[in-house]
Amino acid sequence: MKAEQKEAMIKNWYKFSAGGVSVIGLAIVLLIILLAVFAPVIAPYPEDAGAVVKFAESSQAPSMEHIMGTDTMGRDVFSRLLISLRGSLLMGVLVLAIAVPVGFVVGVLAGYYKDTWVETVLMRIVDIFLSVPALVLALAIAAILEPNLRNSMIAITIMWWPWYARLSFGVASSLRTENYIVYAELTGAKLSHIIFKEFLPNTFDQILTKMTLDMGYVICMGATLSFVGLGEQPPMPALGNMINDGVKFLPEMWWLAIYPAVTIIIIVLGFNLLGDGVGNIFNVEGK
Amino acid sequence: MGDIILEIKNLKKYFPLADGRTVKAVDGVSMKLYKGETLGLVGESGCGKSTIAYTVVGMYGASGGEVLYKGTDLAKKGYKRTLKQKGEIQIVFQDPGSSLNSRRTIEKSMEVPLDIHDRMPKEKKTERIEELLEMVGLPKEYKSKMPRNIGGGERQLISVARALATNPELIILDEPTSALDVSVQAKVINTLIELQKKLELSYLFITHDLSLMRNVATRVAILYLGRLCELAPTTEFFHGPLHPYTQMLLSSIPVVTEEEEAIKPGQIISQGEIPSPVNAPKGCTFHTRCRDCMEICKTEMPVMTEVEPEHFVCCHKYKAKG
Amino acid sequence: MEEKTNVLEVRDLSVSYTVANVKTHVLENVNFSVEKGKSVGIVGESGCGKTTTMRAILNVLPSNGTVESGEILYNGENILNMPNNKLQDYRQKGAGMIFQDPSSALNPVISIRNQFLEALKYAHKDKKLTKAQLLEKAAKALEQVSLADPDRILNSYPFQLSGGMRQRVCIAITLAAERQILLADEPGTALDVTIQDQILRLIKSLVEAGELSVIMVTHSLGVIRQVTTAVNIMYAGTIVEGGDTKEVFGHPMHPYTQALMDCLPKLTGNGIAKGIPGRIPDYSSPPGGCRFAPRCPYVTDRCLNEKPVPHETGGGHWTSCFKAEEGR
Repeated sequence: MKAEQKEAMIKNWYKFSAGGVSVIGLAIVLLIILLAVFAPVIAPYPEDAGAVVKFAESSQAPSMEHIMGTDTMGRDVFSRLLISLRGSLLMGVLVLAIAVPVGFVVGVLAGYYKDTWVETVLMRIVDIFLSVPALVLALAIAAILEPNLRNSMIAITIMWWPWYARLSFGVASSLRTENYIVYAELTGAKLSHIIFKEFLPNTFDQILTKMTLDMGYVICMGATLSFVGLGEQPPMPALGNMINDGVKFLPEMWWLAIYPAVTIIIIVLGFNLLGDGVGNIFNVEGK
Repeated sequence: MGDIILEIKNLKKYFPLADGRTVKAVDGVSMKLYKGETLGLVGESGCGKSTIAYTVVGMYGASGGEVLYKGTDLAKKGYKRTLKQKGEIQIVFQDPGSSLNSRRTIEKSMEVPLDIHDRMPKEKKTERIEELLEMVGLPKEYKSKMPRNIGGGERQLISVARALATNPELIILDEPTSALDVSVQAKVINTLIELQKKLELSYLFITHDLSLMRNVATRVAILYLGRLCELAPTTEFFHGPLHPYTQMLLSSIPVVTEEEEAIKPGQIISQGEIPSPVNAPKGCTFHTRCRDCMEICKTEMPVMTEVEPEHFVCCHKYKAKG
Repeated sequence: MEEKTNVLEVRDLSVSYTVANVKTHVLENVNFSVEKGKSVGIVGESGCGKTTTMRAILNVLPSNGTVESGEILYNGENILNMPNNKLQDYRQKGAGMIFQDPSSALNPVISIRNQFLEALKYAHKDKKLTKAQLLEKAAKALEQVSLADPDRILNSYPFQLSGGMRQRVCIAITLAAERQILLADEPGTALDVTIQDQILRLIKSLVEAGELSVIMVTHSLGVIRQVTTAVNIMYAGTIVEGGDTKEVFGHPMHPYTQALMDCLPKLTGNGIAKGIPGRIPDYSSPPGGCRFAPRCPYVTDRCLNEKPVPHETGGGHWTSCFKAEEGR
């Protein structure tokens, strides 16, 4: 058994790394996670994440003391960037932690009860959510609620779950006639058994792949909301509001906007490459 | 003959089509299954053999007629039968690829019936699963394997073991070996025969393979377009097939020895196509392909007649004689 | 003695696949030939290399497949190193193929008429035939496969035909294109037994009439016995026994063939053998000697260490087995 597991792991690594770049994706993601977790330790000026004003050091270009320069309040951009990674990752994790289970249950139920009113009701609701452009929907929800990090997460979650419903619907509706499902029904299995013990393991591959890819997009979406002022509120740093602060001083003080922007690009790229590799392990087609 | 475990009376199952027509998948079939025997239900595609099986096991409710299991009518119940009945009537499906969940271990798949019918502590459950595996001749280490790591025949044996978990009395075998190689089929079939003797199981064996039925069935029933053509004890059936369709079917089987060639009613050459069950021919449904077709066959439906003890045939030729 | 001409000859063919950096040796020294106007069967269980052989004959091995050695001669020319245009010619005019499932072989949205024209245009491109002449050939071929009313068939789409009719259409296309070889991959397995019987009789009569040479690949011993004149029994990528069909079925020599015959349920009854213990070997490290040795009831040390070579036993019947060779 041990040998079999080892063999399976080697095989999975082979499939994962076959594309080459997925290893880079993995490295980027690991780096981002480490930086976020240890941000307070690594950051040279952790106190700069808050409402600190150091006029003496304001608006400095990148140097040895401040490798990404300082902002107009004299706060270290590198430190603020590190701290903002935590909020971004937290957002990605929490949004998916809610959107995925909700979407899964709704989608599987609709797929399992295909051609009945259950499917009609659930999937029409899903379609309505999907028909409104994602950003517009998130903006609208975030604008109605009080602007803060928590509410921006709620907004993104509401626009994100239908994608998982659609994914799970596809899997469940194609599997529902499989004999092992029919067998479970005939033997008297409960609905919860069929959803969580039969459908869940079969949907897992595709969901995990999509989740990895989506992490980057959720973080990007969170940054968009905070860019327009609907996310984390100043003085707390977030990738979006840092860019927003910085664009006013372009191009002279380029470091204010460019560093957070590049960070977003790297995050999205990292999760994308990683997601491709995960998809290769499970032979899931790119979305 | 012993006790009757299952009696099907004038069973009908119609499926409506989107365009308003209906498919008469099963149209008035009656037969009995005795305790401890194997009844072979044989026919080509569209003959309704699987529909009968699925109605008996509860996937469909019947459109008409009765399915009496130990005297209780289950025909219209579908999934709404009692848990005890669900446990006593089990099914083994054809496709070894789809009968087990590919993402769960053998043990997890085998826990499904145990969790529903026979709740027990974890250690006892593992013990029971090992015991079931042993019954079908598989090593107990198989419980931690994934379906993709074992062969098709072994997967079918797991399906059998899983069916045995609820202590069934009647097992529907829906072409359990038709997707397997013959060397593998042999093992599965021999295991099924052994289990039947040991546990006094009754089998309703659905298949298109008459050669297999020769070696497995106690009695054989031939279906054509939703109706029974002939029903007889196996030995009698193969030595004196009466219905023209049965004769055509037998003579179409590719065989491998001269002795077998001698048994085939050699003169009958297969002709014509199987009509669609949506508009089955009037009168005897087989008359369009029958070489002995008479005028009466085109208009009047023949009825099942017992021409010899326990040998039933549904054909005007024999009705005229009797 | 009458001179034999081989339309197709497979010599010492070995093929391997590479999956996840692991090399699997699927075919090992496969030899057989097809005489003009004869039908040859290749029979074996799933995973024995039938499909790989078939793909090699059409030179359509998947990209991870490699021909390790051997050649496939079509009218004396090796198709494995033919230039592309010649290979195209060979596929269009040399060998036609019918499949297990006739519904996948015909494009569902193209009428039968256009499918014929497509195939025939290429096959007869040197002769500069008109469309009417091509359709005439099509109609004649449809009559040859006993499809009455060719016009109606030509005007229909595949879904309007039954499975048996579609299989006949596929055969008719091969006939009309005047291809020499019909590669039949499990023909009729997806059809009902009474319909399969009709298709097999048709193929047999076409071969006997000298219209076609047939290579039939199947898992069904019965089908092979009914249709072919020569048979090759394949096990784990090697041909273990071959020769005249009647001879081989009358006196199977190789332990694998014998076991296979015993496993088949017979119309005469008497039960079924216990099956063959074990399973086909792992192709990434196949047995060093006879590939059947690990499952063979008559295995000796020699079988485990030495590869058996074909041994004639008379009547155009040979087998690769030390037991037969040593007369045990």
